[in-house]
Amino acid sequence: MRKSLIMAALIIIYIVVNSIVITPSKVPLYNELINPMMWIGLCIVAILLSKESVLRVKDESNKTQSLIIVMIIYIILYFLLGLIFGFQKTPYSKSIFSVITNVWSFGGIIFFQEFIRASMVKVEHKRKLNFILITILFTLANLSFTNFLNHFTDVKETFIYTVSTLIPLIVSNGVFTYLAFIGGPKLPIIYRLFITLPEFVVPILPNLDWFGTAVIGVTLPLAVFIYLNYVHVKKTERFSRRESKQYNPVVYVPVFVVIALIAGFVIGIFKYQPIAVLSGSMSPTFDRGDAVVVEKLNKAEKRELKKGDIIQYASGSQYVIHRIIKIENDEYGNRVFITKGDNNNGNDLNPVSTNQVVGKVAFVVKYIGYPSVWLSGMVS
Amino acid sequence: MEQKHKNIIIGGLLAIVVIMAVGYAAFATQLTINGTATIESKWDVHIKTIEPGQPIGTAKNKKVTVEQNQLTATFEDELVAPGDSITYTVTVINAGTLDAVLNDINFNDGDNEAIQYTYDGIEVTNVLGNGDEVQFTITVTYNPKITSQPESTNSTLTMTLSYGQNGV
Repeated sequence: MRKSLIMAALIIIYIVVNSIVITPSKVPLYNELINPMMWIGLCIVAILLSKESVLRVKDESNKTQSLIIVMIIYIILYFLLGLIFGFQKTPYSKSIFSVITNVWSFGGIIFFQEFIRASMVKVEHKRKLNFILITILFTLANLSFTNFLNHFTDVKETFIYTVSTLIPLIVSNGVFTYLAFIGGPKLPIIYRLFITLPEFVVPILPNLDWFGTAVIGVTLPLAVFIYLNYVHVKKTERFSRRESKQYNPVVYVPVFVVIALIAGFVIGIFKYQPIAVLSGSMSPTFDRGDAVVVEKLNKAEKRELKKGDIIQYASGSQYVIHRIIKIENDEYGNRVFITKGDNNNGNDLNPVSTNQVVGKVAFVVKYIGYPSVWLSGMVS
Repeated sequence: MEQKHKNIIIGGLLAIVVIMAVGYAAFATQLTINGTATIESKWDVHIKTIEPGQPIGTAKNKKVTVEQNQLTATFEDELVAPGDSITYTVTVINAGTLDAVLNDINFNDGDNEAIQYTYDGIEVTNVLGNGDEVQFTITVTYNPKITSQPESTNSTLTMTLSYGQNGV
């Protein structure tokens, strides 16, 4: 534990010096030279401090194989998501020299960091405390502080940054520490290379919003943890059939399928999408705090809309859910809908064109929209 | 035995990755690729602030929306008479650790003929070093030469900046 604390102190010094002195002073060759050199220095200290060499990697080929399988499946699924959400260019230069420099700058330090982590994990006493300490330290070491405070300007930004960046970073670092514990530095190195390198090498990434990023950022480390824990436990302890069944990752497959389906439902990749009601304009049909499930309509289905249907339509940058009270043709002969909130005195100001219509309310679920109402109340 | 099985699985999965890469190479032109990804910590170029200046004539700034930590901004103005104009000062910051280069600056004004826009102080190929900021202005004007009544006196202008790594 004492050696672990010395190492921890050194990493804290690194974090402070790096974020307060070195990064703001814009030193040249920071990514390519300065930052890796600092980690190499720390790594040398870690190796000198640890009794047995951390460089001697245990034979854990079974775990390595299992991890590689999970990571390749992740890469395949991740890029397939692009077929649903579309793709984005990565900002990184794709000239061969830049690719090599980036891979060295951001992939290279992974090796040094993970050797240090693996050397710190090996303690006999106060394992839990040590585990938490390592996880916190490496989370901080991998956070960017240059723009840190700007993520906390309002409740919405804080929420987005917390769920899409902070929580995934903490969860993954917890899993890295666990992997270093069961299999030495090799396992977290493989994991991190798989998630870090594609963006430098592959020219496109799936166009995920913060919600998608958050879901993946938590699901992947959990899946890795569950599977590797199973492989580890199966090997080290003798279990009866029933006991080993408890650890079998197949048990968790339905859980992940359900998470994926719920996430997909909420972000609207299916025909039906839930939407929280934020105003009382449609009372008493539905109230603020209820959720409506909107059926998205295609062109043919929009033609079948009739008076009395409740539709969701785009109005500027916002969406409105009101009832159709009249269907007319505008001056160019296009079908337009006159809409009104059940609880409003007058009609909506502008007629709604077919293009603006997103979908039709299929049914209402009472009260479950309240979390969204509270959240948006805090935001505005 | 189990390890052998796993090797076969890894081989099979790698084959899928190769097929995907080949597929990408073959169909890259048909994929819809929107904008540039924002990646935290290593890559972080974003609009820091947008300040509307003093309006000229009867122009009114209705709203400026900029997604925080993003590179897209929307300017909504009401320009009533020819010659009305309003100028915005935009500040972009590179908060990451890599040098960035402006690859493209794109405007979408909804094809409103009466509204003109100009920008000054920034151009494509400008390099924005890590930790640096750049300021430029955007002016939205009601075309003084317009003779017919435009459809709308509301102007919505969306600006998208596209930065990439300043590679070697």
